Amino acid sequence: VTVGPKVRLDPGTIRKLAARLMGANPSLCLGPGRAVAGADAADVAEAIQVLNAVLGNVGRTLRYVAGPPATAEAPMEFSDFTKRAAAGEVGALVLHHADPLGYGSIHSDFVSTMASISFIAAFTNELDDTAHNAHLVLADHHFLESWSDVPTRPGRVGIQQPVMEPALTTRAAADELLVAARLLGKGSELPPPPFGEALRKKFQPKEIEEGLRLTEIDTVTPRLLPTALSKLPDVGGTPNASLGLSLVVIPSFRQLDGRKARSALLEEIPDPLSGFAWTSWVELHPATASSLGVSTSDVIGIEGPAGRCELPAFVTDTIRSGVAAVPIADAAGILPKSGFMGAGTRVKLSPTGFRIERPHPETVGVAARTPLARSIERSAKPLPVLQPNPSMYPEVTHPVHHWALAVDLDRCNGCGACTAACYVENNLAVVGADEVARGRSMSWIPVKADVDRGRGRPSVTFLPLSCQHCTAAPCESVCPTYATYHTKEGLNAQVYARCVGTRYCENNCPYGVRRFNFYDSSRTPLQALGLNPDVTVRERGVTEKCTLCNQRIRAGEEQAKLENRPVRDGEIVSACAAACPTRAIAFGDLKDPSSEIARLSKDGRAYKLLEELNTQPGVFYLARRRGEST
Amino acid sequence: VSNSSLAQIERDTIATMSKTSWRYWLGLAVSASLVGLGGWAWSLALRRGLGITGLNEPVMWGSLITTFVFFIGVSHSGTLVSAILFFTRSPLRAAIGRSAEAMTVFTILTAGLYPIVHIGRSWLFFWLLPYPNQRQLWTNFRSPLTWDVFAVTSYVSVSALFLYMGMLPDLALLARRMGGWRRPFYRVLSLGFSGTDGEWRLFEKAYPIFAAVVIPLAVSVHSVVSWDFAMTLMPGWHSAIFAPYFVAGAIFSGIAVAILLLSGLRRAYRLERYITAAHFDLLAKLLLSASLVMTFVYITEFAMAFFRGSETEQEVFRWRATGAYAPVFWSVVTCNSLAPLALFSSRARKNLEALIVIAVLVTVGMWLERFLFIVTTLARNYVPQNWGNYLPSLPEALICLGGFGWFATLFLLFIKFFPCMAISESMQSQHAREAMGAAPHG
Repeated sequence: VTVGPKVRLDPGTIRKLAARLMGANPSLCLGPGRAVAGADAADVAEAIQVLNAVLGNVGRTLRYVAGPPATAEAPMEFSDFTKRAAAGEVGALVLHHADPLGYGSIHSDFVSTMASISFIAAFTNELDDTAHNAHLVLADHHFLESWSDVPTRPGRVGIQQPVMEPALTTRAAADELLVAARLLGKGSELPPPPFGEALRKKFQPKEIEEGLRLTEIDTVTPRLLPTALSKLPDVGGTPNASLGLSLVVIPSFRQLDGRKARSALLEEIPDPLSGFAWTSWVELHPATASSLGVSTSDVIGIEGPAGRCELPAFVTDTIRSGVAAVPIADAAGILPKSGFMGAGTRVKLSPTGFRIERPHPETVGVAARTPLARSIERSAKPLPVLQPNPSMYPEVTHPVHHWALAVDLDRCNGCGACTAACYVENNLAVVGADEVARGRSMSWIPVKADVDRGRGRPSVTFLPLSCQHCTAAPCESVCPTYATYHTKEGLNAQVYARCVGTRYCENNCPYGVRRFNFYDSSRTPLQALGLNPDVTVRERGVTEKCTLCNQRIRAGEEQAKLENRPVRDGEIVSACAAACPTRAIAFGDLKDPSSEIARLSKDGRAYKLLEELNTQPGVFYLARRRGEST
Repeated sequence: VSNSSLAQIERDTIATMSKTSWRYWLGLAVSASLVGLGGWAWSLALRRGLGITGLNEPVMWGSLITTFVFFIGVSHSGTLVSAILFFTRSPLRAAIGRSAEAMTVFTILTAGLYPIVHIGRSWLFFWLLPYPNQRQLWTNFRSPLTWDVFAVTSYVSVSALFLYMGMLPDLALLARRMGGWRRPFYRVLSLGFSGTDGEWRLFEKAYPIFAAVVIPLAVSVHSVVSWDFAMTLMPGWHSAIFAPYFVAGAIFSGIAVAILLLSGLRRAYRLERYITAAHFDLLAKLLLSASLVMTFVYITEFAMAFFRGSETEQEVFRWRATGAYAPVFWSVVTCNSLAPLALFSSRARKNLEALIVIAVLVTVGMWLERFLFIVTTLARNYVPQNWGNYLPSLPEALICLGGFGWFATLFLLFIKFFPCMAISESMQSQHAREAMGAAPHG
């Protein structure tokens, strides 16, 4: 097949790419993700699978399983639905925690779709855009109050149990539907309400207890049909010469395709690379930015085929010149509603003359120096282990446990799940857009990005930066009230009640991981229900920081004591480690020689941040591997 | 000894206390309003939280700590200069000693407010003091802030005692000279000093002890304040030069403020006979020498940063001179290093207006200098991803101005209630001068 003209790449480049792909063995081709989930998505997916089949990856790096996909979110179905609704084929629409007017607009013009449906009922927890336009709004239980079963991945069904009594006078959507079915005379085919009882019957008690059902999965081996790739997706689009830059639509870690845009917690967590929180941004190469006469934080008007939006610029050499990259949710307003999403769309950029504030504005253009994130060649010798400098103080010992974190930089993709999990676990305050822009975010484990420009093109490494739990902690010696001290278990503890807020510790922390409560956090009684009862809410004027989830450590140790046994490795997990989807964060006891973390600490890639300052951190990192694998 | 000139000294000094012009009331009103504004701004911080300041992550110390260090610095020269002048038997002391000592006490009382205002839970400030309590908790004696508490409280106690002790003979005199409510007031305060030979003997024995204690204390207190910074491991703070640097800076700013106060007093109360051009000439020379020391320290700081080979520290200093705070840096250089060079000329030293302008520049320059080194180090710390800048907020600025108002109010009240010149010492030195003049050939 000749693809050259369609993708507008010169044959030399295509051959070079092909040679690299053939040279890597085994290899794996993956789709570009949600950003291309447009009308041609199926064709793109097909092309990718053909590539994998040709490269011989099937059965090696890739397995196909029988059965329906775990989650059905195909935009194709979505656009089919809007077509049927427009044709008058849809009489009623029941929405379950869905806001198609909010984030669905990326795929289609849902306003007219909704207008053509005569009855819309919305089960929801909040009055979002769609609920405002629904004919019937049914307040559903919160997910913490509901029963459900969710297929998470092939062979796994997660069983969700309520963990609390309903806080408000809501009713479970499933129960409502079951009751409605009975009233309609369809009850005989369905179990009687309540839905929770039905689920209890469906699963084994052991499965309910574990919250998980595991089933065998059937692997299938597909055959490559000669008719494959009969229709190549047209990724070219029609360039509009009057508009300047190519638009690249990127998915956002925080909002996915925009569905999480209403979450204050997720808005609060800055994008690790651009540093923007509470706002989206447009990414530009320095050359592009200078031709426009803008710099980072300048607000830019972006005019696309379907409309205009204004976003602050983020100038970075991690993107190529001549393009403008916008996270999906915000691209909705400027993209046409059909076609291969984003590709080929050209946009015109113009400075608006406004600027917005950004936390840590000095970060961009930082001169190179010893980076936080290190990398080593695969063939290189292990990183040296620095010995602690001599000290006039007695050596600090950890008699029983030495709790610590290890972060594998090879695995971290900067998603920020650890940050979000920490907010929830430790009752961190969400302080809002203005305060975050002032640099007063309360995050205990923000994700930092280190850009390595040493190898020709910039390469980004993400690094979650929590309290390092130093054995020779600079923050401890300077606190006049002993509000912070080193525990026998290796934690750098913070006693909130004893803190008067001199902020001396924050100044003397070379890692900058301590946070100050500038204001009292305000929570409605309903929001206060979301607080973790095992963790104090800090009052204004005190300093706080990562405790390594001390409450979880205590609970684990007490459980072990009750059962008269030592703590088992993996039994206690910090919230960040538990939430990490790539398992980049490991938590454990360095004193337990058989533990995962003790093993990692002996890894040749293990190093500690700013080791030369002799702070002797308990937290350590595993350097990224560079170069070809063998 | 001519009785008329001794009576003149007494009359002139008492006049500063009893005669009150509209200018005084205006000055008092302005100062008190500043205190009110600052107090209101502080109440904002107490009611809402320190979010009303411009502080952020990474710059957790800003203009409030700057003002603390500044006032501690200004406090320095007062007592120190007075004590040194006492030991050198300088005639200057009789004229300026009292105001300088009062300046010391009031600047420390001002400085001491700022750590309290600045901490997150001001209402628990006493937790910084080591006192026996039912929780059996002590302060952390490894923390330079604890040392600070000791240094500042010792300094304010000894300075206040030094001031009070030196005033005893004058208070006794005033109890006899002045009527109304002042008579019992001074009588009680004079502790029964009646001017007998025995009392004077004891006085002359005790006073040098205080003076001798004050000098090392003055040097130590500012060294200790400097260790708040030098004992950390932050680039630009962690430096052995900090203690002498702070002491020099303290003397420098203290002399500048002393020049301003004395010129004001002299003008307001026509004290040209006592605070002479020669006195200002001496102060100007002292200011110039302190300025040269400061310039030397600035150069040394940079040289050490680039000699030491720490990239982080080099970045801090490079950025200090060229980054976001470069205007502050060059203002500091202009005010503290360049402007005082004019004092090499005797014409500038003799020109009081020029001297006042330079003293104002130095005062501003020294505040900015403290601001500069505090903020730039925090703003450019070890982790570039954490870098960020800081600008004081309006309430913060008001709290700082309130401190200047507080100091001015205390000082203005002092000169109404207490003699701003040492009457008895002036008499002694007048006596000595005339005695020498009367017997030129021995």
